[in-house]
Amino acid sequence: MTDIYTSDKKSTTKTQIQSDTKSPREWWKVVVDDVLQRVNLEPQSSKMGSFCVRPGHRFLTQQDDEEIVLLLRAHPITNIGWMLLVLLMLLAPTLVMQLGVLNQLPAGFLFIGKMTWYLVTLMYAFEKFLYWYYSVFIVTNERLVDIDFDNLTYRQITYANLNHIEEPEMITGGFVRSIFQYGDLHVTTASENPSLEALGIPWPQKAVDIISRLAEELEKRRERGE
Amino acid sequence: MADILNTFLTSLTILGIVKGMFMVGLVVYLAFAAIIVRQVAIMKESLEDPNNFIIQIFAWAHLLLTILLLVVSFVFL
Repeated sequence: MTDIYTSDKKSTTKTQIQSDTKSPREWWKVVVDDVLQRVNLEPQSSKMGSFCVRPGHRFLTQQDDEEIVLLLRAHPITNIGWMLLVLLMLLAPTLVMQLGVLNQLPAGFLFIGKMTWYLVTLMYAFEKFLYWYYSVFIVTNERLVDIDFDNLTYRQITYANLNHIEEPEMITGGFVRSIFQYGDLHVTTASENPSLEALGIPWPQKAVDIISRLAEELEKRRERGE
Repeated sequence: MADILNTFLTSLTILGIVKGMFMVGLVVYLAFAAIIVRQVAIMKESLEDPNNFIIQIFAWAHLLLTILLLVVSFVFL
């Protein structure tokens, strides 16, 4: 009797073998693939780089068997305040000149004064951009890393292993936050430094989902003694 | 000594004082610009990113612009 249906046994077996023969150091890649597949996320960079899945970057103290799964920054819309201020600062010299307040000053003073003002404005914008760009929250296959820059000389990096976290929590709400879909993420840990937070990140629910699933997978592996 | 001090004080003008303050302010700002370059290096070290190079160039450009402004101020004012 001829077969009506033949399953693709060969390819299935091949895939199985490939998966099994991954070196022990690469088991985490399978876990990350699986978690991202379950939450329907592919490697991407959205919202001007504030929600990056598997960006392929590296960070300070990253280990060889560690990969960035999520790299989060505050939503770009959170920068609107200082951007408006910068716009006002750029317009200020023209407005002041039109008022005629500084007409008595020598031309040299006016020129240098304007140039200095524009340079300070540029610096202010650059400084704000730097804080936004480099204050990141990273989820790796092993831990959470919170890198914060509060002022020019102050850097704080907080780590928490995924198997030490207790409750990932997200807070959303408010008119602007609802429209632009961003919110805060808090993760409590059992350590002395009890909480890690990522403020104003896009899609906090997706981040919580991924963190929970990764922590769960690690817990399962630990229970199985792998 | 008293003569020198007297000559200095009588030659002082409002614009001269403003110029002096301006120059001191720019020197402090120059130090600030140098700190920014250092800070960018620290930030770059924290996170490797394809845009790090552009950001570092921007910080150096800002430092150079500040030096240029200091020199121009010294000449023009």
